[in-house]
Amino acid sequence: MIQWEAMLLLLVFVVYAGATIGFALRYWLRSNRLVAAGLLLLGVAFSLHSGLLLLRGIAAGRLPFSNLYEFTLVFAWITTLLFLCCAVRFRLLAAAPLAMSLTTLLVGIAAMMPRDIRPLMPALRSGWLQSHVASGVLAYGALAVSAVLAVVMLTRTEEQAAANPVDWLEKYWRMPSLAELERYVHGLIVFGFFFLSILMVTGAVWAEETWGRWWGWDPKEIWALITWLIYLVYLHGRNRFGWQGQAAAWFSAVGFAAVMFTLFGVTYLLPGLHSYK
Amino acid sequence: MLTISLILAAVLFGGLMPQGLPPEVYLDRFGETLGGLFLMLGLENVYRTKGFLLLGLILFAQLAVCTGKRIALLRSGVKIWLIGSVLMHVGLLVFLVSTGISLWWGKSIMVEVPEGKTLSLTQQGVPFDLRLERFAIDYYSDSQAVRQYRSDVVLTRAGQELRRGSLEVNEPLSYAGAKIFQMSYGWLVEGSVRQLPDGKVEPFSLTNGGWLDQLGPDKDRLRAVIVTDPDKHSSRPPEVAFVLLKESGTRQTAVVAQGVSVKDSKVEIRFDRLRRYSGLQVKQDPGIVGIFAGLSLSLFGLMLRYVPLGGKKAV
Repeated sequence: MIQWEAMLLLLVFVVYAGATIGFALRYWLRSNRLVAAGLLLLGVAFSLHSGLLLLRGIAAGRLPFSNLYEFTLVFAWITTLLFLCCAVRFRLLAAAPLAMSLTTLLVGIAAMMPRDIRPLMPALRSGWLQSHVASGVLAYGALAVSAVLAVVMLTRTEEQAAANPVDWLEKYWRMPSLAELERYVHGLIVFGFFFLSILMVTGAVWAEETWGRWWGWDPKEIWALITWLIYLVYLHGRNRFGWQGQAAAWFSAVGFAAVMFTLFGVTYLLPGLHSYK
Repeated sequence: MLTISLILAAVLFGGLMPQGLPPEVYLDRFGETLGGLFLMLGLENVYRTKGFLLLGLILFAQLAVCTGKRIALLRSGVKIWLIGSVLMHVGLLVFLVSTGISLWWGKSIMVEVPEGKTLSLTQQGVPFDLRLERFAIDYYSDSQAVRQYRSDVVLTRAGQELRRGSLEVNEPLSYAGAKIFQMSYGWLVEGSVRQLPDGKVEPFSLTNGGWLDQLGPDKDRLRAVIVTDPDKHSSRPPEVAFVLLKESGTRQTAVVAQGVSVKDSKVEIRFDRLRRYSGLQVKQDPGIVGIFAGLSLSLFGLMLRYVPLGGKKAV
């Protein structure tokens, strides 16, 4: 299991990296063939990635949700899936180099983690595991894509946005206006915030069943709350004071930094009850 | 908005600065001036400061006002997003009130109980006493990893059996508003101490690493540390290290096998046996239903607030 998994993981990483390079080169060489190549590689990488998760699930005899390696792989998969949905629906393919860089980075980080399949410890033998982790990856995936679009917003001007010509592949490659981008960032944050809230509520119910307390100021809980509050401040500010444009982009970027710290930083630097490495 | 930002700042402070450590750690790490200031302001336990509690109260008051405004808006026309917004705020109010009830009236007791022992909990306001009939650990068939652990208990009151049941990790047992949680397991070191030359034998039962205080006229302290844990070294007979800490600061250590005594000029310490215990938590929390009801209502409101059925007007 471990050997073929390592090979497949390496292949997924390499093909994602290839797709990223293909999309990135499009910016310099301006050839739509590179977009087509990038899409082909992305399709192959995503299929291999799906297969990897499926085989891992079969080998473990459960959903691949129970340690940081599995969570990171599913997180990368959901981020790619959500980005693809957004790219097709809102024609955001021009953000692909950044989105695919993030996916490649996540798969690379996962590749450095222990991969052995260990039996579930008693605390994880609960029906809440699936709903808690599923809401977590959906939240993190949406917030990741929103952060990607936010960085695109922060590095572009309205003139650049309007300058793109439109032909067949470029219909999907064109960069939308900053106002459109901001709307997508907001929508993704709302989606992510909703699942982040479910993540916290399911976590509280599960902690009450397992540890006899729904909240314990554990480092992971503290940082999950910090992340949730950052997005809450943004949503509240947008509703009350009309925070849009750059403010939305900055909140999205800072919020996602908090997401990444909650996931990796807390696990390695601030171990607590949630350190399921 | 200011309140939420201040709460964020306080939580962030607690997330960055280690919480709940001994005072000397803060003085050592941050220096006398800054560390002393942290301690004076109670920032080593920032979530228990009066300031943090005050922020919670202000949040509650602001939420109540906002909820009132939203309910008033409903009179001018019912919209799904507005209903969602009201439910979200009402849910948070229910959550905050229930959290207050939980903090004020909730209580929990942690116990380590060996098989066959009855714990008298009614004296502590729990509606039953608890006897552990049996404790069992299940292992995965293909490894030494623990799959689950389970306690069979009998709940009694004034000697009358009230209920018999099992509990395990993730499956607490409920009775009369109290819940019993399976928390841990381990070994109790059972033995006895006798003051020499002619003191009486006093039995003790300590968890691994636990302390026996006020030992003898000199108020010595005795610590028991399991050296050979039967869970890890099943083939070797159990051994325990006793550490005797004297008032004068001197320390004596001896590793003792089962059934063996050690003594100095003043005290004799005997290690009788290791006995399996089940770590349980008995909890009474009148706020817990409200906490989860409030959170669920808030989530439902959040969903209604942002589904694209209710228009885009924001409040």
